[in-house]
Amino acid sequence: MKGLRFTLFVALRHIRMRVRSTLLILLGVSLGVFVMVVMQSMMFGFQAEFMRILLTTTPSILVKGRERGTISEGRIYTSRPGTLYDQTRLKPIEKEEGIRAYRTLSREIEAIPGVQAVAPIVQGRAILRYGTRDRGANVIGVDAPDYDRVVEFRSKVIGDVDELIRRRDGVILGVFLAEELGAVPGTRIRMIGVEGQEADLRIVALFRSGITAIDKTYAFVNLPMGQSILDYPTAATGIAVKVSDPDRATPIARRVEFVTGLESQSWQEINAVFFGIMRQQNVITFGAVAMTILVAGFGVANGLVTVVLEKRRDIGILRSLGVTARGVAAIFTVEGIIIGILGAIVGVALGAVWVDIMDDLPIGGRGGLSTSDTFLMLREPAVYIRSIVFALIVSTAASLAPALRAAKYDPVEIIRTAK
Amino acid sequence: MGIVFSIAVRYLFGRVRQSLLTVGGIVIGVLALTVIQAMMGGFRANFVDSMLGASPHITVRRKSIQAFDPASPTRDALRRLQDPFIVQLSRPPLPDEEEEIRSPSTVEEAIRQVPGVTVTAPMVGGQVLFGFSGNWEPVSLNGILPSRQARLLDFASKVIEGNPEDLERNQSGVILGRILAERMRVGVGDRVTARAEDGALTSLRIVGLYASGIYDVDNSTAYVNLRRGQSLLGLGSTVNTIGVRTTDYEAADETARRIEYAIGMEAESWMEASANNLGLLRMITTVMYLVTFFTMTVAGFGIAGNLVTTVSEKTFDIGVLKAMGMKSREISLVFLTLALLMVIIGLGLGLVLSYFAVEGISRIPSASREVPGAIVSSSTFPMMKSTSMYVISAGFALVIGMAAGFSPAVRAARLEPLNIIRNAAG
Repeated sequence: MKGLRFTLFVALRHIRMRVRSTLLILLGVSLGVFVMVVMQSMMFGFQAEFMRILLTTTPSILVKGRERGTISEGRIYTSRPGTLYDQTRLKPIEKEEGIRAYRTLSREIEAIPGVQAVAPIVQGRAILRYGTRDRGANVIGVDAPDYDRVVEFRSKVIGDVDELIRRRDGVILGVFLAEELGAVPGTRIRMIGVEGQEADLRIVALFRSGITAIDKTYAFVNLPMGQSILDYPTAATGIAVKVSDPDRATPIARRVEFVTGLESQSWQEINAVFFGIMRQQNVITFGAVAMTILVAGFGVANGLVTVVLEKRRDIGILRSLGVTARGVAAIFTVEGIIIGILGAIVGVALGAVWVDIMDDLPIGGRGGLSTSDTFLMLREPAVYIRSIVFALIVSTAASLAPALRAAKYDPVEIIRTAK
Repeated sequence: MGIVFSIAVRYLFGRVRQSLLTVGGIVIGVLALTVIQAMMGGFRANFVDSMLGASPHITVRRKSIQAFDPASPTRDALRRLQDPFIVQLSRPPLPDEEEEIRSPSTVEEAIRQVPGVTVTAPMVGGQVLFGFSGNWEPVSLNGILPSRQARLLDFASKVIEGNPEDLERNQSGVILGRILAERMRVGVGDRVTARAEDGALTSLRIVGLYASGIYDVDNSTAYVNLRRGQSLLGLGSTVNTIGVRTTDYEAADETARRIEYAIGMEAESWMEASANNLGLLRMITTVMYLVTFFTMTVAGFGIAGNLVTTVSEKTFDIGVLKAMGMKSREISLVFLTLALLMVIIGLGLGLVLSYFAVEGISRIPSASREVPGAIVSSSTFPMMKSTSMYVISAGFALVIGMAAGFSPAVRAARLEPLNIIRNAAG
């Protein structure tokens, strides 16, 4: 305890002696921590929000109307030299059959531990026509109350969901899809199915998830209406499943496959490539941010090297007064840590202020993926803790080499050569 | 000047360890700045190249499409829906029936009179359903004149399989977007069925695959002969779009305004068409530049810290130099030269390292292939490789170095020789 107080005393003295250069080093560390806090808050904030929307808009598991393993058993297209995609081009022999026994299967899936709710859906492509304007849409036929148990459907609908249940010819359009068609709730549009089935539908409400790709393509209809337009008169194309713990979706999807014999994909598997890009983006950004802190670490090392050189005689005296080599090393390491802590405090404070400011800052142009108007900043303590820890590690590491050097000084040599 | 330089060099090598750490900071700063520039620049160039391979510099239409118009009836209705007290919905106007351009050649002639316009081409566009073995997909169909299209945009080089000229020879040929074809599981030589406006079915032979690099385009677009497009979309002998090529694609916005003024139709430049993606790119670029700016600034702090220490260590030397007749200006020059030397060494190393980093990263496979939401799909990291980015990094490093060296240098010049020597003696 006494040793620690002495170490602190000497370390603080060294820091106070060189105010100007210490301030510059501190500023470097603060800026590094600041940048790290802000970037983490920005990237993770966006990603967390995106994941949240994804999890509340799309089911955690989607069971498909295709028998497990059929795709790998499909015929591989004969390879033509010089073409690019031969290996992956599989030819389906005919249209997928859909799940006829979807009611029974739903009950079976619901009995699997971890499954919270299920809803049969029918999903496919169709053209929407309003006046002379046509748009392709991803049509999803749902039983609204069932579907609402699987995803947070009701809360994303602007208008009256129950209208969809009451009217057989109701349709709920993604907001951007409606906008591109130029149609508003209350108007009638025509939906043209792939086999030529047509239906005049009434827009009863709009759907807004916040993910551009979804809001631009989705159109929800009643399950029977979807079945007739998409030409699955008595079948569903999939069963949407909600699990109680989203992190366990993949093992549960495997369990569902085992029980039903149908191909199932968890939300992690469906979005695997997308998450891969997110990770890649994180790596690039962190590479850039780490550079700032690394350079700040160089500053810390630089300052300590200078102190060690300047205090050569002091070190000799300390050693001859009985301070061990380890004690000398401790003094300089503590100096590095103190600078790290002070820099982290200033950086975190600056970062918190800036995160607050950015939270209300409008994003220039509507983003490609999300439709949020402002930056989505994450304000979890983890963001700050990670930045502080990183700064401390770097500044401690930076102080190690100068500290070890100081510890290696031979006191006899120093005192003998001193004037 | 000779003495100033040699003192600066002496100071630089007199404190090797500290100098190295300072120089290291600059190396990393330059490296980060150059690599980020290459990355961001490459990303934009790749996007622009893909975009210009997929759509003309300017697209002229009879009337505006209301998409993303803040005053659109949908937006208005949305506002009302969110307000529980206003339940009355207004009836929107039906979309304009008059979207066709009846005499394209006259309109084209007028457009070609506008300065900056080089090529025009009539096109038709609309949604049809394509079917293959029971699977149907809505497709954005483009009817084009193949020979004219080749001059309008870099079309031929984006056709990765098959021959774009077959579209001219074969009236029932179609070129499909690569990802769309992959999804429909068809290839060159296969026949797909197109469902026309009036429900009639037409069989089309795939004569080529098309890969612009823009996911949305490659996932939904098909090209047919203009005639075929007109009949599939029920347009008779009219067209609904005219594509325009300009002399300078970066100035497409102004040319589009001139066309609108000249002929009274809506002209949309490629920048307007991809405003969302360009905006997103701009935002990412700004953020990344800010991060690297901070790295450079911290490296600047390193230089300043180094100089402050050198000045205080060499106070006695400065006093002696001044007493021997060296001018204040020369003293500050010594320290500015020292800063400059550190920057130049760091810069040299940093530029060499960043050259290798840029080359290396451009070989790393990228995960952004074929993902909805990824703006462009590319198999490797597209890196910009221009000298300008090295010049910008160098300039920035020099400015930062000079700024960092300024205050310590001035301080050193202000030291009083008498005080220093008197204190040292006492």
